[in-house]
Amino acid sequence: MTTKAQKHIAIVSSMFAGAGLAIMIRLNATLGEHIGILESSFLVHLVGTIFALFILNRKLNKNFLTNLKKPPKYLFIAGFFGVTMVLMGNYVVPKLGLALTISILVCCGLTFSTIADHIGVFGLKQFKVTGKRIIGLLLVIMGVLLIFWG
Amino acid sequence: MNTLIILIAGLTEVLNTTSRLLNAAMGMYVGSLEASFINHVVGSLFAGALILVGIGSNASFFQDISFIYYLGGMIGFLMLSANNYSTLHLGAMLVYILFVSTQLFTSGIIEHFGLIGAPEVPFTLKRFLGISLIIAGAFLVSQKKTLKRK
Repeated sequence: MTTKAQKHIAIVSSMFAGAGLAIMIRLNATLGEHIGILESSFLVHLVGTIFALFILNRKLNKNFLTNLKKPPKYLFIAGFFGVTMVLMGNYVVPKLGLALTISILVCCGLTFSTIADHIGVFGLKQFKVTGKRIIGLLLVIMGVLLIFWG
Repeated sequence: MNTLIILIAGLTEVLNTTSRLLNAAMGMYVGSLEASFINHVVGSLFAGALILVGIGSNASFFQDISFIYYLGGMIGFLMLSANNYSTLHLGAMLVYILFVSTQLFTSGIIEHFGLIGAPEVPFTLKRFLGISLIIAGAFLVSQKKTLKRK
């Protein structure tokens, strides 16, 4: 069960996560401007790996290694997407600015997930497009345009 | 502003969403923190290999900039933990709305004050309205029509 305190912590931590992502995208882009966008993407993943090693050190035992054999191999390509994603972010942010980049990200994410929901990709649950969702997407696009012109 | 750059920004988010889906699937087999760890390891190896074959800027990794620019990967890992915790206690929809809201406002604030290497862009009324519209739209889009049981 979720207690009131847990709920409050959850609200604060999800807000921190959002702020953290905005800060992280800008940090990575600035690093990319100094050392190169691919190098920045590499270091982001390397630092993430080292940090994860500290957090997970006890969990990375034999059990983890046997678990590694279970997932289908194609799931491992998520890391390739991650690198390309950070790489492109590093390229785009200095050119468009942070707020505009993030609003385009949100807009495309919502559009993409609406389409993915409608089709039901990867055997996930299907959610048909509704009028509400279309109106929502139009509002989002208007918002992006306002920031673009602002 | 170049349409191509905006397209790249959009594609970034498509990769991001795909990467998240793959990561979630990986998490079912090995645990969500472990999945993030694997993602970072694969990413480091992939980006490292690209740099080794000579695709990159050839600039030195260590430039005369503050060490905070190297900590992006750490934030990424913490963010994921916060996200997992909040989703458990608040549900994915509320977490997403909180996340997007703080992300957009933080990016506006970072640019307003020209923090972390960002050029200064004033937080105008237009920007405020644009961000508000995106949040309202995201709220509408996130209200999925639940499928009725037969």
